Amino acid sequence: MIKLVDVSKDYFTGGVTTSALKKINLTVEKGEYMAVMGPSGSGKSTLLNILGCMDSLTGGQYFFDETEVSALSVNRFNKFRKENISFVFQNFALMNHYTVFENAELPLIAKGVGKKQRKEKVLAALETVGIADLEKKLPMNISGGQQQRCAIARAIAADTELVLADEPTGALDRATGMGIMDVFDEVNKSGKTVIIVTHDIEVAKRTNRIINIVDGQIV
Amino acid sequence: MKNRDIAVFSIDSLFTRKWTSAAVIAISTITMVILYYMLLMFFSETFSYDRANKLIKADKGRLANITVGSTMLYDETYYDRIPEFIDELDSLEGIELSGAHFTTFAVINELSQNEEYKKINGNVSDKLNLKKNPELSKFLVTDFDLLSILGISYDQKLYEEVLKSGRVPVLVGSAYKDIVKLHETLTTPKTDFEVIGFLDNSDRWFGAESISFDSENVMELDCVFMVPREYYPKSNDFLHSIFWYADEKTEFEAAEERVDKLAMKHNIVLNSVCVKNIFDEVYISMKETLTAMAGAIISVIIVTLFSCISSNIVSILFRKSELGIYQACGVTENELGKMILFESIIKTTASLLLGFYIGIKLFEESQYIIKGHMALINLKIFAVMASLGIVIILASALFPMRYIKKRKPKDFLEEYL
Repeated sequence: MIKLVDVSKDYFTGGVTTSALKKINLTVEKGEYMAVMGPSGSGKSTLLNILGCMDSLTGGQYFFDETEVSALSVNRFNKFRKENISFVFQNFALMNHYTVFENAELPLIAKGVGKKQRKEKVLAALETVGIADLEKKLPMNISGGQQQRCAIARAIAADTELVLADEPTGALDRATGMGIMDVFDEVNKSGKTVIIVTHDIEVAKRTNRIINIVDGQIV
Repeated sequence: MKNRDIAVFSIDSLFTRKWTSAAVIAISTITMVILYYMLLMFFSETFSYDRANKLIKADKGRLANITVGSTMLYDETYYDRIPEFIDELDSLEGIELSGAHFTTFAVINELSQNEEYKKINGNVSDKLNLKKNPELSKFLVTDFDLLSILGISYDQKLYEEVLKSGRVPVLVGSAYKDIVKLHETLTTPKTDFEVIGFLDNSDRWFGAESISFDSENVMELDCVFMVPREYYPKSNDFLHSIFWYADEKTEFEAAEERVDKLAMKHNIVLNSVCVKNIFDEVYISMKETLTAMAGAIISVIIVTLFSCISSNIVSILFRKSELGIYQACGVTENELGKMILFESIIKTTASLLLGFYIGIKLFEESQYIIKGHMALINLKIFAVMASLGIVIILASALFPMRYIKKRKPKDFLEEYL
């Protein structure tokens, strides 16, 4: 499904070039459940940005199914992200002024899905993550674990092939974190490819494959 | 993403961040008020100039004026001699009589029934009495047009409306500014007057600052009430001027010499002023004023643009993480740009309309303090201001859009990555 060929990412700051990724080669199969581990500054987040079309490559090629993502025009690149990729962040990244339902609904509005269909999908997603009864609550009025479930519901509702999660349990206690991993297990079982960036070996062990990045290279 | 949903998100965002939106609108409104005020002042000056120019051109630019100076009024036989003088003036070689203008001072006697008015006006002689000198009536013309040459102007529409209403429109000397208000009705047993404008302290009636009715009573121009010709039968007091112009073959100076000789013959002391010369002075002064104002206006436009653009960009910086979440949820840069464009349009339009309204109100109030002009709002001014407004709206929206397009989604999601 995903293929990175000699992918590099350099940052240019104040005349200094920093290589965050150095000719990475990676293949991820459809439906794979993968963890990316590494120390701070190793390039995990940069890899996630590249995979998630949040940033562009400096060198190499990125293939997603048959599409060479790295060669897409800006508009098609953005459209590609909308159609194929969802995100879950460590700090949940929810809109504080929108309810749980409205937060989960956002990707569907971005895709132009009709109101009735949106409602069905969102309710189903909230049901999957176990917070259907909280649909009218604001994020500030629910726990961290529930907020993260809302974020996952948003990713499920978007119905994309690839779900990327950056330290999804980082802001949660152990028990809650494991509860979240249960949800990710379900997401993966539904056929979605899930890639999780984490420091936590217990979280990584829940996946089927662990890759390590050190100094911008996969070891 | 549907455009309707983009609009909904934009409006929603304005209300969610109401204090930021209010601050942006407030800052932009302040600059808009200043801009519109200055534009109105600019157009007010050009309007006066255009009007004066028309009058001068209509009189072939050689219009002159004889103002009755205060000296001659000591002579009680003046009013016997004026009609004869005017007839002879008309037959002087190289000179054509344009008309004689009589500005009637409003019913000073009636208004002076009010104790406040009396303090200012004192007792006024009835020497310039049309009833006693009916032959003067053939020279009466509309005086208000002449005021335009001096730069005093009034709203002709308001003037006509007040006349139709049965009240008499009055221009009031500046000494009355603390006593009467614009549009105030001054009621007397016989007549109702409505104040349609004020004379400025610096206004002069073709060089005359005052008129004396006798050696003891001197009326300053800023203490008078001036009514239009239509009301003259009811008024008792006048300031009169005789307008003449030299024909094309005659130089003004030569014609002026002939008029002066004639006046001496009739034992009348005159003060001749060439209106065109006054106009030239006014024109030069106005041009300098307009140039300075144009420079100031351009500066204010630049400041307005800058404040609208930067306040919109700053409001985006406050919302970086929110914009990042939108992008993480699949909203593209173009769609985000549309959202920002829509928000900027709403905020800038609100500032424009508020600035428009407040600027006009301030202008209407202040013009009576500054120059005695009436507010001069017309289609041309609205069109210019609306066009400027559209440019400001677009510029203040397009720069934030460009800012967003130049950045990658990860730049907005720094907080979460």
